[in-house]
Amino acid sequence: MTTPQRNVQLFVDTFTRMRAELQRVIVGHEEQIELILIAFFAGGHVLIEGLPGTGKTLMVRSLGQLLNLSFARVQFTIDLMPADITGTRILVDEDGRRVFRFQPGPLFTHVLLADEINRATPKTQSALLEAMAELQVTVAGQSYALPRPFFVLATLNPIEMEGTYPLPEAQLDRFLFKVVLRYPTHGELQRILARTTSESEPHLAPLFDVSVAADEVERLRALVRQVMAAPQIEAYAAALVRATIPSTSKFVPAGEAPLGTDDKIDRYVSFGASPRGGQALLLGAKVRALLDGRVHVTYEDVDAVAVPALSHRLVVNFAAVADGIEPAALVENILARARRWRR
Amino acid sequence: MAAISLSARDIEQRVHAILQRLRIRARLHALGYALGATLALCALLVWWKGREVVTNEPAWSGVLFVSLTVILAVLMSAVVERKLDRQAVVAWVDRTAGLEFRLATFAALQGLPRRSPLFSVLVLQLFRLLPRYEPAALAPWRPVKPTAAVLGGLTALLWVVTQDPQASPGREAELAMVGERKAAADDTGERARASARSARDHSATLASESEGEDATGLEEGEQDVQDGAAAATATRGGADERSAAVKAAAGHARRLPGAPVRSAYGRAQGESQERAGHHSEVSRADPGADASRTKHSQLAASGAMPQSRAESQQKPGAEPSSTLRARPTGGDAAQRNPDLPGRESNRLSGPDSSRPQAGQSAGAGAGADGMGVYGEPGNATALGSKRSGQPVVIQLPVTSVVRGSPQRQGGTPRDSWPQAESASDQGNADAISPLVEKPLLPAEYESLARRLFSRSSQP
Repeated sequence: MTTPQRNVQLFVDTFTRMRAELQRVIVGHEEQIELILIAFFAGGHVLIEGLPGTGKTLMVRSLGQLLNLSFARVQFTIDLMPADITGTRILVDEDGRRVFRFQPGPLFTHVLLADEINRATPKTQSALLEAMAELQVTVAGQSYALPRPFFVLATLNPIEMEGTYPLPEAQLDRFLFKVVLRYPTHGELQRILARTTSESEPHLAPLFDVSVAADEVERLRALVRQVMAAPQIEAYAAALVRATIPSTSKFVPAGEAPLGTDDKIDRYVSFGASPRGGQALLLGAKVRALLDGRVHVTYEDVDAVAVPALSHRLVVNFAAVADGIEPAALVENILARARRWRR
Repeated sequence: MAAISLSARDIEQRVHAILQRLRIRARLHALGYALGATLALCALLVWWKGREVVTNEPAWSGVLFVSLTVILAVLMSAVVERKLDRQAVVAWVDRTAGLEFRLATFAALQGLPRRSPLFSVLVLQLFRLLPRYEPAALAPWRPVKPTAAVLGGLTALLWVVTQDPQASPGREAELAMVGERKAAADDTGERARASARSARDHSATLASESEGEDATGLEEGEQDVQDGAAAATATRGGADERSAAVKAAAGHARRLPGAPVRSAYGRAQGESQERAGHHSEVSRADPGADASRTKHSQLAASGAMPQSRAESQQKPGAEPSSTLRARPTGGDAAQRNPDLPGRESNRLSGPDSSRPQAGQSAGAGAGADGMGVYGEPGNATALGSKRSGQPVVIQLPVTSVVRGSPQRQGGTPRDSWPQAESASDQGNADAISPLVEKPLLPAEYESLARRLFSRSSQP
């Protein structure tokens, strides 16, 4: 077996084991777990929207334990300041001299759970988002690199919206996927109760040794980027992204819509997805292709990640809210048109 | 242990072989379809023009056949091969062989200067899947449809040749159909006329047998005649007019005591059938006359047009309008031949001059002309009940207008009215011929007539 082929097989094995281990701890949410793992290996961050008690924190903590990576959790509140998460300079004694020294904040970890991110002020949110995009923080004019891999799982509580600061579109755009955790089914709930109230809790066995865990994860992430995508696939992803933008928008050149215009998009969408949406599509499709043992992307791979990659990037207008139109439904509509186009 | 060297060239050669095979197959299929189409065209030609089209000039026919086949084949294969480009073929192989877009990715990325480190894995996967896209498996030589096309064309040609198409059967069939239709139409008209004649003779015989009149029967008959005449006035087309005429004739029969109703009904039916026969004849001969007749029958039946005007605009050969049909006419011979004596009197008096019958003019003639238009049934009925054979003069009420000469053709009504009035003032109405005295129109009819005339005078 050649080295690339061995790497592909290693990736498939790692991913499969991670998924199996997580499903031992977390009951249900198989699809959401796979999407979170895809985002993790694609190098992106995930925004989880779910009700309290649906296993968000458990999911993130289990991921850190499984990969033997460092894990931190920050509960975002309205009085949380940027220095509280990025770190600050403190005055310390060094050889009889008092000097400022940088004290890293909770951002300096591999896996971070930003719980209820919409309760923090925009100032704190933007500090987190800089770290997510640039993988560094700047304190007192000095930049500090974050450890790699750096993976943020931010949660949104859809209830109790008073006193919250909804994330602006530019910050939403920085999340690779948005995953919605729903209530467990009756059977799942029964299993959750049996598992969490018994004497022995499931124990997670780390996949990597702590000394090589970060490097192994980074290697697997690099492998994802080596997966090939034919020009047709890239054109397809670009067409999907373009189709989310209303034709009436003044920011797009006229006559450049490969899939044509869509009445629903024009009626319900104010702003469509950015090029980051296209990146999310292709990266997610590449991970999915690797999971299938392939080294090339197909149309089906792109379709499979289109809804979590694009739905949170659509800014819908009041008409959509009034008519009860979900962004995910709009993306599904685009996919239906795209399937006809690609044939 | 010897290392296995894999090269992308193997896969490239496989793709090339598939492409070549598909092109050859497309050409063969095009040739088959072209041959089938040419054979079918030949069959069509032989069908229409006869076998001699091919047998007279066999050499030229052969050259034409081959040329047509080659041209069609070249055109078809050109159309198909335009779609058989490399990218389309690769996508087709991907779908057909279940390669999950591997071959398309390979074909797209193979020429790039810098390939992904995973490209070798793709080549290896494609190499392992080589048996799936064997050219023979993907594009087998089974020209089922082209063979079917050739066989179909050949069968058609053989069938046509064995049918001995010396004369074009399609044309023969068409001519035969036309002849049959004409014969059937003539036969129908003759039968209708004969039936009408016999029915009329029968009713006339029955009517002449019942000469003795009864006063009660006369009154009832008069009432029914009026009903029938009103119905005839209200009719608007040839179909309704028949029933009105039947009703009027029935009333006429009731005026004759002892005469069975069936005689009048038979006569009316006979007339209707005769008219039907005559109508079909006229329709074939002169559709314009038919259309004009229909229009006039509607106008006259509705009472919107004076009788003289309605009659003057009819063609000589055309059948009387619906209003006029409601009265007994002077017979077909008199109507069809204007030179026969009694035609003028027929037009004016109504009763059949050739075969006078008791109460006949009152039965229908007054119903339509005398009463329906002018609303004075008493006068018309009284005069119409006289024995015919003499010119009938309609006596007018106190206020009257004598119409001078018959309206000139093309002249407007306004031209004739002052002349008539002046003639009346001068008292020399008799000097101006012919001479129908008619009552003045009631006020509402007069306004209606003026409206109609003013409308008809507009362009």
